[in-house]
Amino acid sequence: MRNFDGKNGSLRMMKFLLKVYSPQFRRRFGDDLLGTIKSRLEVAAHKGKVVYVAVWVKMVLSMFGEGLRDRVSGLSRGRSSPRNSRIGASSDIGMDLWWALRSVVRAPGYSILIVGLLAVTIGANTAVFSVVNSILFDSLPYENSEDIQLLCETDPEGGGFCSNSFVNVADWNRRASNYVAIAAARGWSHNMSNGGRSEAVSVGLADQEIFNVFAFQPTIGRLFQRSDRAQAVTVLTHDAWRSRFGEDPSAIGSTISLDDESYEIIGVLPPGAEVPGMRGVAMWLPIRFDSADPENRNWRGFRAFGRLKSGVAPDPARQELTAIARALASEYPETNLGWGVSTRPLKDWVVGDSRTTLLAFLGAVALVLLVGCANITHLILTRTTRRSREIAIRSAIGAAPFRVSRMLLFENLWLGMGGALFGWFVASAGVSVFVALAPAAIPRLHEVSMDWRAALFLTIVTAISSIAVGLIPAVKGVRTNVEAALRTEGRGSTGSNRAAQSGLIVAEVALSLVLLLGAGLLMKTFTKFNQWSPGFETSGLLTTWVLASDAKYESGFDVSRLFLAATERIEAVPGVVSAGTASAGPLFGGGDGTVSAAPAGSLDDGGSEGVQLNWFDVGPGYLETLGVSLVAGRVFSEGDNRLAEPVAVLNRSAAARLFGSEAAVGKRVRMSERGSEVEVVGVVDDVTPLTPGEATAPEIYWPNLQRPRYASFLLIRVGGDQPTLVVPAIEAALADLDPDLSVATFATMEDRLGVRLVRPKFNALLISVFGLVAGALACVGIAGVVSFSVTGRMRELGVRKMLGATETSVLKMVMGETLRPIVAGLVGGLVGAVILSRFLTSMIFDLSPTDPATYSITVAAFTLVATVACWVPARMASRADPMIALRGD
Amino acid sequence: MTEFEEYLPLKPEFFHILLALEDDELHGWGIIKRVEENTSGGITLEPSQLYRRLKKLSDDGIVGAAPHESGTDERRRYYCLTKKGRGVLRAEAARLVALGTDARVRRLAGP
Repeated sequence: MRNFDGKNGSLRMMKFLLKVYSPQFRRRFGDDLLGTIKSRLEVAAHKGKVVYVAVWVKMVLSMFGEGLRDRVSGLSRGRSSPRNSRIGASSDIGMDLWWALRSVVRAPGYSILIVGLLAVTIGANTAVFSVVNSILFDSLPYENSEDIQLLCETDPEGGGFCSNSFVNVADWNRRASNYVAIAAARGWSHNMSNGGRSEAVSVGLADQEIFNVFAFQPTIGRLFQRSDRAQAVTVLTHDAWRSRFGEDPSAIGSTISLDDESYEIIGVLPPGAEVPGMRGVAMWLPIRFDSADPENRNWRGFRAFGRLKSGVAPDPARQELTAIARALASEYPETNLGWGVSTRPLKDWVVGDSRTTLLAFLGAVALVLLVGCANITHLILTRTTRRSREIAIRSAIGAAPFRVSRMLLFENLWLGMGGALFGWFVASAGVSVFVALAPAAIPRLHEVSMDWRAALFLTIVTAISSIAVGLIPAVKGVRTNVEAALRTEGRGSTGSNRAAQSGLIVAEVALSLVLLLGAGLLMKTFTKFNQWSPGFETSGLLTTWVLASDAKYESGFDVSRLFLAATERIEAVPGVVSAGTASAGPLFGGGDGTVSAAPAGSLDDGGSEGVQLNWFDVGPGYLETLGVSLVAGRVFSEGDNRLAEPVAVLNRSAAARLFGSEAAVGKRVRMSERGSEVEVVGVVDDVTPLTPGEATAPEIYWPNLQRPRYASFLLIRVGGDQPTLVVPAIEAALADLDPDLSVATFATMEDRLGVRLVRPKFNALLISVFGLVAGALACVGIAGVVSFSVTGRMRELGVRKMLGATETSVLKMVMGETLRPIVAGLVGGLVGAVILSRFLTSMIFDLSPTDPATYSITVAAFTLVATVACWVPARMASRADPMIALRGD
Repeated sequence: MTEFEEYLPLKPEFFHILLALEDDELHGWGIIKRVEENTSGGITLEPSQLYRRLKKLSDDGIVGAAPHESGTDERRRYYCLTKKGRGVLRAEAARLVALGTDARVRRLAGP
């Protein structure tokens, strides 16, 4: 028999639902009922998951309904006519449904309000559920995706990077017995010649095993084989096949030119066949570097993925890999000493830190639903009380109490169905808005969709909330005192009603305060991000990156001369102030990596004890263009080329870490990389880290005239307000210099800063919207309760005023009654927020999750608004003319 | 009017629960399956529906708990018809048969 994880949970849920029944029923039939339910679920489990879930939902609903009937029949016993407890007699359900529908349609304002509230709250919940479900809970779109792992070589220095040497990965694949396949992959850029113009394309470099790891089958042609290693062949992605070849099958066997070398197209991947973290790759090439070269074993620049053989547990597999890594370390101590290996389920890595964010969204939207439900309960309760006369008449002419309750529940059912229907549209719209606005950093956004699980979720939430909002009113309907109701003309608000409404206010205020506090913290985080200043002037900076053709420039030094010429050409463009090149930089995307460095001549000689420095290859003019101020010494000039002494510039943090308080300029630094030494010629100021609160990283800058690279970022400072105006002139200048030079799109530094703000902005926006909706609902609820309660008490208030009560004292009395539950709600909300705040820690920066300033401002603001919401109707009541109030009866 | 006729007409689910218990003592799941068999799937009772009906039936003294027999599943309670229950079932059966012999009803039902 198939075993579903949820089974114990299912039974627990049923056990919980038993509480709906009367204690007498539970005593007599509880165990038996659960036993029978178990049998039913077991039979359903044999028929697959879908049937199981359907049966489960049906049973939950029927448990709830039958339990209520049991309760209601218990309440009515003794008062009702014997026919009602009889087992005979035909059902009047149809009639009651019809009457309920009629009563809903005849109160259009009320019905539209409730359907609207339900549609918005249920719709928002379904939308967020769909997003969370697709991203967090759906399996990745690969065959048996749970068997795929991300493998990482672990750094002897404990760095958290996950990068691997493709040579080591190939050894793992050969030696490991627990894996179907292990493969290394990384992105790469090539110049593709296309009818005289060249274009930079993003390609994936991978072991031939990569397609076995992800179990891709070719659409046409074939995928890599072992014999393809070192061959100039390529496999196109479906997108590239469509956009470049119009899905023409004859593309197989033809060649494309990358960096002036011809590659034969051997196959096409199916649509959507993507390797995680490598979206946008147009084609795949086999890794053709020499694996015998120790430099390559030491080059840890690849991601590694492995597919476990089916049935193999992750633990033994990891132990085997660790043993292999240890063996490799003893075979190649130069490059592998101390390196271990770690494994991680692929989905874990793909979903990453979005998990807490998304779950926080789900929690927040659920709170909105609760506040919405509390509000709807208010409305229904108010209406039921107003209708107590109608209900009393029904009872007086012979309607059994349970029939009255059932009709009230049926009304909610109709309203709930309306809410669900419109809620589905709200949810579809919500999902589209979410996907459109969500930052690209949230993974799997393109997989988000609304499916049958969203429909199921919507149904369950609707059913539960319509029953929940109707529960108190339905029970009250049963308990209506016929005589009293007929006498007071259905205007009164009874004591128990007031208690129920106070309870609802407490809940609404508490829940919305939790949301508003969360929203406050996220807004403050966003403001902090927004105010971040990197320590250089960001306006007037243009960025792009360029890639030189490696077929055209044989040595790296030719390339560095090309880049030098490029910056000179750019600086000649009118409007450009200065230009520089760098391998990486602030906001360009991290850095290339770290190097371990130590003062030359010191004992450890740059070994594992050295200081880890982020390194950057920069051209002359880069530091000036960025506007980083010089602390000591000098920056690079054209003279710092391969003929000159190797030199470097440190930032302030690096100088302090390496040399303490001594002057760094003139000292020599020894680096682990190739055991080289450089002389420090200058020290520049630190660039503020991108994340507020993060420590400044020590950095070392090398001149790229001494350490050339084929790809480089370009940084251009432009005078004037609109830096992008000079882009066409720069592009023309670069094309004139070398038509084969690939130039990416230009972006201003401010745009890049903006991109970084998208995620905190989105978090703050979404939770703020939820918080404001909940807060507004709570205030509307408060105002409604107060005005309803004073309308019902006009006569009492009139008498009080006749007896000498002043407007102020009446106002005080009414306000006092409502402020009590508001204060209780505020206290509850604060406690709840403190408890829940830890879920926000990953979303807020440089801020305590219980930041006193945010808390006090939010609480003060909310208290003010809530007080106004209660003051307005209270004041109207206190000003009413006592005579009119008295005559009104 | 006999003491049994007070309960007539029986709702179909009640009638079939009684019918299921007519020749066997059954536990809850057994009753559900038997009713489903007897009506060729026409009446499917959820466990919660069954037990609320069983409560009514036992409150009215129509169904009772059966004494344990060896060989039956001891963890489960078995239900059986009481003497009154058999009377009610017989009275309902008689009512249905009487309906069936009514010429107009037969004509309405067609050949």
